[in-house]
Amino acid sequence: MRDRLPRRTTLGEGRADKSRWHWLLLVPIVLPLMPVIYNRVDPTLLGMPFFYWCQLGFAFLASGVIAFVHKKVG
Amino acid sequence: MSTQLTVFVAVFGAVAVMGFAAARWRRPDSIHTLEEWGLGGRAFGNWVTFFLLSGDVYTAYTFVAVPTLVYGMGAAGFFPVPFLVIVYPMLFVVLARFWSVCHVHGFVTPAEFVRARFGSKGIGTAVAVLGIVATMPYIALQLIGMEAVFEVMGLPKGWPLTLAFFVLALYTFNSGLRGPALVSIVKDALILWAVLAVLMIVAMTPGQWDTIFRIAENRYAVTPRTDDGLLLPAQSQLNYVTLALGSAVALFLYPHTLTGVLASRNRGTLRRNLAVLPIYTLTLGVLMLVGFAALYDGVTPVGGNANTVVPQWFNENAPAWSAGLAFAAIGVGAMVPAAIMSIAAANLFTRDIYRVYLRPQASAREETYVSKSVSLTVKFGALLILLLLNTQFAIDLQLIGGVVIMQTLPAVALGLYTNWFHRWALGCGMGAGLVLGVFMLWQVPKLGGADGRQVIREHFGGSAWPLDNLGLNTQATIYVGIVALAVNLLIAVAATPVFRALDIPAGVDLTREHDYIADEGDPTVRRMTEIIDGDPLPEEKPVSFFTPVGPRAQGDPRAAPPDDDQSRRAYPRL
Repeated sequence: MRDRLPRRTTLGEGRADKSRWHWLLLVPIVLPLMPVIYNRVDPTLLGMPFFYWCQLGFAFLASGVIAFVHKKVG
Repeated sequence: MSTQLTVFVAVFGAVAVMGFAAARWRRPDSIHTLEEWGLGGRAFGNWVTFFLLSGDVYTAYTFVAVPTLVYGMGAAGFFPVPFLVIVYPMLFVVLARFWSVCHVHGFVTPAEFVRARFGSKGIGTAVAVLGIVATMPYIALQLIGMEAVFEVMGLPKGWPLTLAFFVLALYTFNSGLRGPALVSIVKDALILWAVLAVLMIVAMTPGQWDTIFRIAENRYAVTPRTDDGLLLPAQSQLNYVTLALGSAVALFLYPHTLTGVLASRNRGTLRRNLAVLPIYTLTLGVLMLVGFAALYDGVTPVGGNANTVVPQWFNENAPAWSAGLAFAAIGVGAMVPAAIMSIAAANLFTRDIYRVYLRPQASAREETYVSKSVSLTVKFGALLILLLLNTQFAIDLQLIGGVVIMQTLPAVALGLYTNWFHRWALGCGMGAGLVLGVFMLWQVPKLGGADGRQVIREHFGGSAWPLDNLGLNTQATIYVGIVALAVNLLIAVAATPVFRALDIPAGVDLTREHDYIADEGDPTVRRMTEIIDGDPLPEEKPVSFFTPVGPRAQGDPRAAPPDDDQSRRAYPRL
């Protein structure tokens, strides 16, 4: 019976698309989830409180990091 | 007829024509397979995939409802921006694997993948049913977005919406995923115009953003509510973060997102798009700031429908023709995701219920026919929910839908990385998450009144679960979906060794590690031309004219054998 069981793969074991660069993706995931960083008014940009333009700025960060990781991982 | 309505009708008419013409776009020999009808031939390149995914993710309801939230509460309504930023790095890791395994095995839906990965018909069906249940109210929400526009244009309720949806239903039936793919190009152009209009109008406002934000701040300061303001009050932060995270998780699991993903040509196309899509969030961000601009301009919702704030702002501040274009952006923006969602729900039904339980031997043609019919049913179901029941009901259902779809995470998303979970443990976790999630939603009262503290409705009043239910002395709230998902995961992890110790057989995994990294050009990934052009000719089979057994090579499609869809041979029937 045991022999017929499929081989179990566990997280991170022998994956061919594994790459350390993927850890970099955590940056644009974790930063927008920390209101401590951006829950403030100053500095304002074009009259926009930091809260708003900083979070919009994270979009560029995410885009940049993803593009970088894509290049590195190939 | 007002200028706005004229522009709207003109754009809408053009879009309808495009939707029908899309059936002829990169015309396949036969559109009668799910690969063609439901996934557009799986051959969309960088640009089309971008338009399709952005049309799919940034829906009309988002463009209408989210600025309304900002208008009402300020910062707390801004959560879709972090949500639509963090979702892309998350997707970057999982989507390429999902794309590969689905192409190698010819899967059209996430439920098919789960069935093969964990060797469990039951879990597959559960994923399919949850997907359909979560998607239907989402379609109804698109109608709500459109309804708001009609209301501002002074159209009656009922027939205009029905007419618009009739057009949508017909072109989806006819063209499948090619319809929304082509139309989404128009949608994005219109949205871009709306964003530019906002920026130009604000630039012409004396004092620009500075004044707008100051007026908004004063406005929030005078309300007796404590949960509004230009910044997040301390008690709202946990909910803000969990809501953003939960929405990001849910977005990946919604069947319509995955449908858009599977239609792309290769892994590179997908990954390049994920790098660009965060920028699209800026358009949503600008439209959300319309909520503040509406406070500045003193816009009040039309007819008590809070969702009319954005269209009404355009109506009052933009030239009539430009307002018409903005209305069309919302109208067309509703049609694209509604079409993709109905296609996704229909595919789930066909591949995971119809073919598994009702007609295992269904031919590709029959499958497509079933999918088409179901897509019609689903759309009219959504329309009926809205017309016969009410708007609030659709919103409540969607709220539950978001929590429901999140419970498929261990099977679908973690399943891409590991088959460690026992199928029974996955089932137990999913069940527990669902029960807990719905119970917690039931517990949340709807608050309202001037200070936002009075209980208007006892139950199903939102997704922000007050932590004082636990006896904590706090006003903080948390997003229900995250709690339910955490419990789901805990149970799935804890129960797996138990079921294994009890020697209850685990399912057989039909996928191999290589399936998850295969790309276009890999011999295991069937080439598009193969699928589009039909079977590669069988090597010189002897043809007898007396006993016609094989298919006539290029003849009448009806003469093809029942199993003429390449993708369906990829894995044994489960």
